[in-house]
Amino acid sequence: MDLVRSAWAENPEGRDPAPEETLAVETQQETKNNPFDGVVTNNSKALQHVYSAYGISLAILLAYALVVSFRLARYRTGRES
Amino acid sequence: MKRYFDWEHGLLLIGLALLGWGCSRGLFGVPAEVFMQEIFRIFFLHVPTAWNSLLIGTVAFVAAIGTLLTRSRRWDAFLEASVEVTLVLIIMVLIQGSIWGHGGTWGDTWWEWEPRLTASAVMALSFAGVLSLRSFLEQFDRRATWTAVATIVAYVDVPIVYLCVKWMPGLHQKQSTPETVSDIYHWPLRANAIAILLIAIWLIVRRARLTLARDAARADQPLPEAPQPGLIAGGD
Repeated sequence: MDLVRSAWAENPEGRDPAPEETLAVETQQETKNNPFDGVVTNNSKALQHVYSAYGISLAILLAYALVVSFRLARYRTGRES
Repeated sequence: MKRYFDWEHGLLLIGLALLGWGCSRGLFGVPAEVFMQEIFRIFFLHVPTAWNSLLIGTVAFVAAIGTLLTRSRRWDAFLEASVEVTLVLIIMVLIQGSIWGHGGTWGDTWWEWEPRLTASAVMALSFAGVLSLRSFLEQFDRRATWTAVATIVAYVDVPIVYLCVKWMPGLHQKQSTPETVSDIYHWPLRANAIAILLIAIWLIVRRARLTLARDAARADQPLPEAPQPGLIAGGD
């Protein structure tokens, strides 16, 4: 997470980085041999991905919790009857 | 009908409250990171889930040792529950990471065969393998022993997942620590980490109770009639 810290130190207000910012250019140069393209620009697409990640994760947790709870309740009621 | 309100529900309530606060801060409260921008908000769920997957994997390892030493049904139930919860968490981590990568951070790719991702996938397959192996074994002693040994073998990958970003730097960033993350991001991250830990403990306890209840229900059932010796020998 060095990227986050250094980036935050350069940009404490959370403003959008200007294209000519040195850090962004350096990052793109450092990673030119891999798929990371340095600066994410399509924020509406990014937000869709963020909400998908949160939604899918919470759905998995909820589904697992429900399956365990229903099976446990069934065994417990089965033993009482 | 007897009403059950087990102690672990208190942990769940605290966990859900913390998760709600942490996610709302992470999604709407803190500013976006300067390079990754909005897609970075997955960080507040992905990193705590990853931490907890490794932690609960370590709990499973301890439970495996406990099972081998004690051969008790409680340890075995605890082991099965912790392996299963580890698998759920690591699957969540893989999905979150894949979405993060596809969201623009690593281009439009869902998957890269780089060390951290590969080691995490191996961890998921290993823990799934433990549960699969367990499902084939009926007799308690064999099931408990084989599950414990398989869990210890599967656990070998957990430190590799944690350390591979140091040993074999790839696309994935290094470990996130308070020193490497901006101060403003600390509390949502901590809240979600504690929240997921509490929810994981709740899931482990519920899942262990389920195993114990299932075993008790099977013990209550009458044993099947013993087959006739002649049938085993071939009917003569």
